[in-house]
Order: sequence, then structure tokens, then C-alpha cells
Amino acid sequence: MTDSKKEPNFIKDVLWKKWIHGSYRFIRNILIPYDIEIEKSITVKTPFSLTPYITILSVIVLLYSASQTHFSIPFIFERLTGLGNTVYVTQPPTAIQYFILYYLPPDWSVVSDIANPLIETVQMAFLGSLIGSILALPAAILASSNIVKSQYILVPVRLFLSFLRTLPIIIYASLFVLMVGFGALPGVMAIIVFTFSIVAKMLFERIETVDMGPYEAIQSTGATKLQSFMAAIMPQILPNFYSMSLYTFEINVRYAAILGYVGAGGIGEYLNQTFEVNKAGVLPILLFIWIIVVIIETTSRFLRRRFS
Amino acid sequence: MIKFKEVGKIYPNGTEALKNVTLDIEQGEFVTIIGLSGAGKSTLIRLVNKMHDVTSGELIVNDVPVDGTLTGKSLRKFRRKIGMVFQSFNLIGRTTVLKNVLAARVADIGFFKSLLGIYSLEDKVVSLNALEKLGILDKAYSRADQLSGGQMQRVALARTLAQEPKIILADEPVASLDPITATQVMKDFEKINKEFNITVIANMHHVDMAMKYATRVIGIRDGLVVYDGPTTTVTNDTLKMIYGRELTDDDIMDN
Amino acid sequence: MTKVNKEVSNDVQVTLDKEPSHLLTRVITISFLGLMTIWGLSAIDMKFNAGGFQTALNMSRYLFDPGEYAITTYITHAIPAQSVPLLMLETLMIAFIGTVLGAVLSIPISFLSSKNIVGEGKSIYGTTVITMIRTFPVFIWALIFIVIEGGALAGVLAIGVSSIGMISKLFIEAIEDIDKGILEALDSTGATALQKIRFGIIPQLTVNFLSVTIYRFEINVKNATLLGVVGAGGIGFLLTDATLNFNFDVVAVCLWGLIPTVIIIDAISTYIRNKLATGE
Repeated sequence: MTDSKKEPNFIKDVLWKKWIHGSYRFIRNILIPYDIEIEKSITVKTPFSLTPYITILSVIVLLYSASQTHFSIPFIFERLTGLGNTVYVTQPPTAIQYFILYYLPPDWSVVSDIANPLIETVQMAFLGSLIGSILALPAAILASSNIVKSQYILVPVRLFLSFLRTLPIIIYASLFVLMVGFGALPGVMAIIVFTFSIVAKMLFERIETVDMGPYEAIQSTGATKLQSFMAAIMPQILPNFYSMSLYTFEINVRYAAILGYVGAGGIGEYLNQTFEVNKAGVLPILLFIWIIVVIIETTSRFLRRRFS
Repeated sequence: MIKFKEVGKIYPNGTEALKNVTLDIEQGEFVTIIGLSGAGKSTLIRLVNKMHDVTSGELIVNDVPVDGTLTGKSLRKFRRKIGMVFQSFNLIGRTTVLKNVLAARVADIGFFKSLLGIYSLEDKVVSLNALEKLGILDKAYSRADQLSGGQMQRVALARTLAQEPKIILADEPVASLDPITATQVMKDFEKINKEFNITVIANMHHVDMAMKYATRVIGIRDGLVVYDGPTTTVTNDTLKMIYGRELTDDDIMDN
Repeated sequence: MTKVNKEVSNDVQVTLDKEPSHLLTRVITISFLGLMTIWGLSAIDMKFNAGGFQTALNMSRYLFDPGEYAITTYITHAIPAQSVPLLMLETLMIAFIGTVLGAVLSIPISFLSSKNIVGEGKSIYGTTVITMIRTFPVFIWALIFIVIEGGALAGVLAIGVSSIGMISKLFIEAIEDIDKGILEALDSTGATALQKIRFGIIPQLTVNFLSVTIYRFEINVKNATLLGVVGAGGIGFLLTDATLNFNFDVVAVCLWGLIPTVIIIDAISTYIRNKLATGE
């Protein structure tokens, strides 16, 4: 009789207790606070943590999103190599074949057509960045709590800036195209709005961390707030301002390239057309866009370093 | 001439910083204000250029009543003739010494010129003269943050000189400096006071410095003026009364 | 020498004459900027379109009342390609998966590019790759990945790859900032390498990593909208297409979906990141 007590019953003890019930307890302990005995007769409840719930939720959302967007490694693998079960009727079996068939060999004749649109792209980016940055300065001043004390000014200005930042630049571009017609103008306007919103935000965050001592000192000499700002605060923020403007210019060159898709000037429109009718021309265009981005980025980095 | 008549200052949070202050300061005096921290020294000084407002009594500075009528343009014009020197110098680090001094003239130049930082030849001459007076003309084009503490305070002093003021207010001007530098700066104050007949009112943390360079001492304790007289008649007992305790090493600069 | 009605000592005069003149640099910079501006302006066809304001007014009318047709068609429509809520959802999912993909790929890349992990010499390879990735605008990736499958997947992959750039850069900064002291302390208690990683390194990094990823997600929602225009799924195409066809009612419905979504995402993101920063 003592024998059967010592020998573990496989189904009851191992399978049930250890694995199934054990797993249940494991999960339950993670999700719900339980009592731990720290010392003799002192029990404490483990703290409740949202983390496991958030993780589970995230995983569910992740799996759902992946399935909806057709993101799955096996699928991508099949599309690339053609090894697999799915059959595509309307296009060549693998992505690589598609790529070779349509994108290659690159059609270099497009180069002669893209010179002007590319130039226009840079022009748009430059003009938009310049005007947007300059306009951002007074707006940032109005949004700085250490300069402007009135909530009636601070709150609306900051709300306005936040709101401007929500719409992606391409939406502004299409809206402006509607308002002023096709061409570079709506593109420049969209870039101005975009630059304005992010430079103003970066700028007022910087202004609020500035040393106010000299500002007060100049005010005590009888200068107006604006004069004191120009003399005491501007020198402190000017290097940052240049740096931010250049950085935004770098970003803008990339966006300017795509605004043409909605007719707002630049290389975008030509790129779109080429993609539709002459895929072989796409790679050369992308190459040149990339070259321009690199040139501008390098120059901008160099200049930004000089303003240290 | 600065006239305090039963002046009191109560801050919005209820603190009564100054009570019933009555005193006259003639043009050209070198006055020092001493007392414990929080006794009311800073407040007294800041009432003169209306950085704080008087809540009771009357304050008249050079025939201008410093009250609610002094605002906006008239206030700025009033402040032009009063310079202020701070314990933390309050210079603009990244710009040159000359530009820092020129900043004092900003209130006088037009809107666009101040925007672009264009000063007239006269502005530059006045500023350079001020720097020369303080012996740091050679540093005119150096960056302000590359100077020593003493030099920085002299630039600040030059900045007030460039205003061509009648009164200079100094809020613990040498408290951040070592004894030797502090002495140099105090000597500069003395020189300016004597040469240009500018009234100097200085808050001093260190009693020995105060005694050595000023001609008149005002002792404040708990918002009240407990002593007002020439430095020559100040005794240890007077100091004990002003501070309400024995002096410690902290209160003396040169130990 | 101009006359000034003040006494000028010799020394002062000398100093005055010595004034460093920034005139040359100023003139050059201003004229350069000026020329560039003129050059920039030449791109613009300045025919002032008075109709523009009229259009804007029309648009704003629709913004507040898109009308029966638009609402029923575009909100409740059965075809996913034309249902604003579904498209917004798709945009969000593209941004989400793309960001996760980028974050996951960034982890090994960042570790391999950190000076304190692989050494100063070897880290150069990684950083160069990351810099290269960062030079490519998002849409270039999208146009390439479209060969795999046009639509949402292309968007996911494009956002994934382009996110590697920013996430890795910020993550490398965090890795190189690790406090070695904690590792030494763990060492002294006899911890194994794995335990040192689990208790010493990971806690320091997770918060930072999460914050960076969430920040990038915020940006990627806007990128996902943008990529929709080049055909990578989401609401981008519908919105711009409707704009250019003057279907203001559709535009309005799309904006009804887009604007609140972005505002909410931005707000949640900022909230979470603030809580992470202050210790959640």
C-alpha cells in the first residue's frame, strides 16, 4: 500500500499537476495579483501590472495586422523565389523575375527628361524651407511661455502648431493644388506649412530652455521686450535655428520629390508616369533622386557642423 | 535724488518684505545695503527701477514718482538712466564683449536697427570708452564666455556705464568672485562713483567689502531699516544688531 | 574719420579701427540666399488663381457636411477600397507592422554597430549601412518593394526598411550610453553573462527602445498615408485622388477619418513616451 503512494501516477501527477495545472497557475499568476508569503505569517499581494495584458493585446494586433497586410515571411519568400504552393495568374511567378523583366535593363534615356523636374524639386524644397523657417521664428516666440505670459496667446498658438503637424505633407500638397492649380506653387506652399510647423515646435522648445538672465538685464536698461529678445535671446538660439532649418531642408528634399504625384511640381509627376508606362525608367530616376539627396545632405551636414 | 517715504512692500503671496522705509539718497552717494538674506535688501533695490512695485508709501526718483503712472514708454525712458549689475553677471556668452556693452544702447535705437544689430558710431564710441574706463578695452572683441569672473563683471559694469546712467544699482555684485577680483571690481565701483558722480546703491553680502568701499551703510532687518549712517560710525554692536546674531565667516570675504 | 561729439582717446580709436568686419561674409551669405531665392521663385508660375479661394471655400463647406452620398458610400461601403474606416485601419496596420518590422531588424543591427559591443573599428560597417539606408526616402523603397506585391505589403516593407535608419541611430546612442557600473555590480555578485544581460542591460535599454519605436510609429502613420499615393495601400490614394477629381465630399470624409486618427495617435504616443520617461 505504501508503494502506490510513493510511485507517482503518471497521468494524475505528471500530466495534470505539472504541465496542465502548472501552466494554468503560471498564467494566472502573471495576470492576477496573488499572495506571497515573505516571512512566517506575513503575506503580501504581488502588484498588479498591466504589462502582460498589453503584451497579449499587442501580439493579437500584430498577428491580425500581419494577416491583413499579407505580411508573412513564407509568403515573401515564395514571392521572391517562386518556391511554394500559391499560383499567380496575372504576373510572372516571382518578384525577382518581375523585377528583371520590367525594371531591367534600366532605360537611361529618361535622364534627359528629368533634369528640369529635378531642378524644380530642389528649388521647391529650398524656397519652402527658407520661407517656412523664417515664418517659424515669430510663431515660436509667441509659443514660448518664458517670453509670452498670456495664456490667451500661448494656448491657441500651440494648438495651431500641433494641428498643422497632424496632416501629412502630401495632403497639404493636394489641397493646395486644388486651390492654386498644378505646378510648383502648391508644392512650395505645402513645404512652407510643413517646415513652419516643425521648426516652430523645435524652436520654442529651445527658447524655453534659454538663459533668461541677460534678457532681464537688458529689460532693466529700458529696452522693450522685443529689443531685449533680439539682443539677449536671439544670439543664444541662432545656431540652433540654422541647424534646425538645414535639417528640415534635408527632409524637405525627399518630400519634394514625391509631391509631384499629386501635381504639385517636381520630379514626382514624371516618376509616376514612368512607373505606369515605362518601368525600366524607374531605377535611373530613383538613382538620380538619391544622388541629389546625398549631395544636399552632405552639404547640409557640413554646414551644420560649422555652426556647431 | 532718491526719496523713500514710508515705503512698504507686500508680495502677492503675503510676505511683507519692507516696512515703513523712509530715507533720502543724494546724487553721487555710494550706499551699501547689508543684512541677512531675505531681510529685504534685494527688494529695496528693485523698487528703485520698478522691477518690483511699491505697495504702500511714496517713492520718488529724480523727481519722477515711481508708481502706477510709470508704465510703458515712460517706464522705459525712466529705466534708461538707471543701470543694474547682477551677481551672475548676465552677459550673453556667445557674443563679443563689445556687443554685450552695446546691448545697453539697444533701447535708444530704432526698431529695425535693433533687429539687425546695427549700432551707430556714437554708440560704439560710448561703449568702447566705458570698456576703457574699466581697463578691459583690449578684450573688446573677445567672446564674453572666455573671460574670467572678474572681467565679466567689469563688462557688466561697462554695460551700465554705456547707458550713461545717473544711478547704478548693484545686487550682490561681487558675491561670486574671489577676494582679489572682488576688490578690483569694488575699486571700479568706487572710481565710477567718484569720477562721474553716479549714485551707487549696492547690496552686499560680505560686510568687510561693504565697509571698505561705501560711504554710507543702510542695515535692514526683517524689512525694517535698523541703521542708516556713515560707514565710519559702524561698530561691531551695530553689525550684531543688523544681523541679529554674531557675524560668521560667511559674512566676511577676506578671512 | 567721422566727427563724433565725444572725446575719443587714442586707444579707443585704435580699437575702433580694429573692429573685425563681418561685412564680407554677411554680403556673401545674403546675396547667395537672395540668388537662390530668385532661382527658386522662377519655378513658380505666378498666375494668381482667384478661383483658388473659391475652391477653398467650397471645400470647407463640404468639410462640415459631406452630404448623404459621401457618408453612406464611403463609410459603410462594402468595398474595402472605398471605405474610409477600413482604409484608415489599413493605414494604421501598415504603420504598425512596418514599425515593428523595422524595430525588430534594428536590434541586431544596432548591437553590431555599437562601439562598446563590437569595438570602434568594426562598428563602422554597421553605421555605414545605416547611413546608406537613411539616405533613401521612404517612397523609393516602396517603389522597389512593389514588385513583391503592390499594395499594403509594399508599404509595410518600405516602412520597415526605412525605419531601421532612425530607430537604429537612436538605439545605438542608448547602447553606447549603458552604465557599466551596473554590470560591474552584477559581476561582483557572481552573475552569469546571460543574467547580466537580463538584469543589467535589458532594463536599461527596454524603456529607451520602446520610446524610440513609439516615436517612429507616430511618424510612420504619416508615412503610410504618403505611401498610399504611390500605391502602397492605405488612405493616401483615395484622399489625393478624390482631391484631384474635385470630389470634395469624399475628401471631407477622408479627412474626418484621417485628422482625428492622427491627433489621437500623436496624443497617445506623447502620453506613453512621457510616462516611459518618468518611470512607468
